[in-house]
Amino acid sequence: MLVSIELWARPGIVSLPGGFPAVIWGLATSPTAAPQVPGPVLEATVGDMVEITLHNMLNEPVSLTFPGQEIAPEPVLDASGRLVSLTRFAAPGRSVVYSFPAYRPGTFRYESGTSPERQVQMGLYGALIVRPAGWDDPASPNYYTAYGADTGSGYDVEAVILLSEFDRAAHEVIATGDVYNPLNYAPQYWLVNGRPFPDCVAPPDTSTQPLTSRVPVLVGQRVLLRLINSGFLAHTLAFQEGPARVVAEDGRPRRSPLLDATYDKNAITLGAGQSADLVFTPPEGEHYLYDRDLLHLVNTDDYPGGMMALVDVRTAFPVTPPEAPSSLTATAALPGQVELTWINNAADEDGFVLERRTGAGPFLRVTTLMVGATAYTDTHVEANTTYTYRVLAFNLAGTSAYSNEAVVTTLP
Amino acid sequence: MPTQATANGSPTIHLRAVDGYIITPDGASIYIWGYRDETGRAAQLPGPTIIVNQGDTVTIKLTNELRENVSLMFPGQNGVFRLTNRGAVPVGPIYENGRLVSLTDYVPPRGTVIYQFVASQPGTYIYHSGTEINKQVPMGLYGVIIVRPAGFDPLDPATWSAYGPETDTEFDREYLLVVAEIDPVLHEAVRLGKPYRPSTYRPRYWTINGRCAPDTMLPDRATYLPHQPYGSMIMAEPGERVLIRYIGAGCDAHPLHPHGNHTRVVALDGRLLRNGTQDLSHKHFTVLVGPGQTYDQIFQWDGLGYDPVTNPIPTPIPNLRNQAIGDVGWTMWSGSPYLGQKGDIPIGVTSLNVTGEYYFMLHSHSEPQITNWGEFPGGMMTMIGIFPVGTLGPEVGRLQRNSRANSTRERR
Repeated sequence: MLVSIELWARPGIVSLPGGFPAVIWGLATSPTAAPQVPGPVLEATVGDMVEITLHNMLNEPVSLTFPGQEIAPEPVLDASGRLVSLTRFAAPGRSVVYSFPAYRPGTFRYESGTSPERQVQMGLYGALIVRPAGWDDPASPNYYTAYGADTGSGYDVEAVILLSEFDRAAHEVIATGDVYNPLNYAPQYWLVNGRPFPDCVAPPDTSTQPLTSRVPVLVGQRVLLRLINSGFLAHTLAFQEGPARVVAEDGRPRRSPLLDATYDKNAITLGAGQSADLVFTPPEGEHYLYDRDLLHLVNTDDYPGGMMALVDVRTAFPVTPPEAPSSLTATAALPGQVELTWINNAADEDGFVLERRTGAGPFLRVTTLMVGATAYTDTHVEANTTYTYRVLAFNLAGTSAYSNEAVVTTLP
Repeated sequence: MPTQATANGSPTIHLRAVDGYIITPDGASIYIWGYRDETGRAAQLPGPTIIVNQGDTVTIKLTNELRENVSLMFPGQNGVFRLTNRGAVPVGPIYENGRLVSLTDYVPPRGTVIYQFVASQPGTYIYHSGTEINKQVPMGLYGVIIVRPAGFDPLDPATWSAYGPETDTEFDREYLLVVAEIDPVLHEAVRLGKPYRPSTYRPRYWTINGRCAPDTMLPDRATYLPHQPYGSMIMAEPGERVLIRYIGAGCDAHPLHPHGNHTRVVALDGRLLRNGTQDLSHKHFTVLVGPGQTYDQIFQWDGLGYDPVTNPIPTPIPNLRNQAIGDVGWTMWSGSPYLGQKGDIPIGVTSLNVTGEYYFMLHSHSEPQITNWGEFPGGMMTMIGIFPVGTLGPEVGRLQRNSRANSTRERR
């Protein structure tokens, strides 16, 4: 069947830890929806014809490539013979269509093929999942498998874990149209599914960073992790409770009728652009996947942060969202900080998302706090500035309403 | 002589997290945090090697002599518990005030925590701190756990294998090479209580078993390296099966290779590369040792059997004056290209060669890493020595439990 996907490449704002905005170029599913980083997870089933229409709302040419798919790139040269795009692009305000058959199952990527050293960093990348025919048919041997029957890829729960990096300085330069020198690339943030820890364990939302990296699992379920490195650097993801079985690499299963070459790993290094599918059955408890380059477990230099995901294994899930926090107060007792307190009215929350806005600007996430938090000190504030704060509670059933808003003006 | 428990024992190991200093060949003294055992006086790098038997219930007491919380993680071991007055509780992430303060149960300064797990699978594993791991692990809070397969008897070479009978991992000698990096500026910041800024990370030293070359080639427990007790000179005789365990304990990946030879990788992260009768072991020249990962290899040197009478080297040997040896006044060359023979050495040059053995390098092929603060040679480099048949004693290539353990000190 024909899978038609329309994507709009457009600028947007993400929220970095501390409540800092940064310009991104993301992919939206409608001309008015928030652009997403990473782009939407594209899904197809073997036998489908995939047709992707890319609408360019940026000020420069943009394109998409689909590594691992049966689509021949069509490099574009300018009049002097210089390569200007790895494949056909859409000029600003125009559109381009790519189509390819979903010919084999796997975990793949897509990303910009035009000035990728800038555009991929700006956020034009995402996951492409191709499922085997019959994956959703209980009568099929391919039911709930990543690569079909007899590939060792059966699962109950699946999660995309997409790794990337974020260099704020690069985004500022690129967004203003200044000349960007890729040699200056020096990321300060290390992302899973577009968010660094602790924000990556907050629930999915409708923001520019909609994806969570909290993987809810019931005890006994087999978990399929689709690890993808969409960044520019190699990353090692370590399992706090492993090992897991590597059943595929770069969208190719490691088991065939003649050879079972699947193997166990407790940590796995993925080079830029590589993917791996891992299956395991974790025991009850919270198990982090963490960047084993431990110096990246920071946001700028604040620990803990960076590249982490959470496999959250329980005997049951909550069915109702938590009660909203109340009585939020914000006090500027000392220069350079705001003390926040609130009352937690929930008994079953997993955590809290604290947001603030500067003046009349949009609310941005300051941080995500884990279970039981009733206070936070915001040290990333400007002097003589009025901030409005609000907080919500969340659990696996959803989010609460927001608390009251608390307004504070910082000291000189 | 290493100490070993009989099958299904219950060894207790008492580690202390302490500070100390290591020294580098260029004369630097670097402040570290590390683990020591009951026999040590200060932190050692890496921490004491823990050797247990498959099936053992392993109890590890950790006493904190640092000024901040510290802990132990055992990646690859499942079902880790903390023993309390109220019984055993599973370890897990610790949150305080909504903030992740430790990936696992920790112990505050001056306290003791007791961890326990069953070493269910043979293999090579890491242990390291799970608290402030962006700082504590690079500071040196890491070590190795070796789990002997069922049936392993340290007194009976016929039982020596990495993964048990029928796994093609039998060995005659074994060596442990733990690789890591050191940024002495970050270490100095910790010593002085200054901010620890991972974004400034720039390693200047690259270590094998906590030592930089040429100290790597010194014997175990060299008295002038009191806190770096483990050497990494690999010594074997032709035809012997040598088990080499690479462990990535740092934050970066390191491409290790022995000059002119391949190793056969038999296990990753403590899991045998074998599915049923299908042998997935494979030969590599260069093994990329990723952080947090372990690589077990069987290495065999058979040579080409050259002999000056029966099988002479079929090419003219360069004249002595055309051989660039001994620029620094010493060489490890015997003066003869034939194993077990000695020959002429230029006048004024001392040969450190003992008995006509061959030497070749094993090192990180990321060659800036074979320097000490930029000075070649140094860093992540050691030698493999191939000795004539019958010249190595049985004590060579026997893994010792820890720095100064004797056979009674930790008898369980």
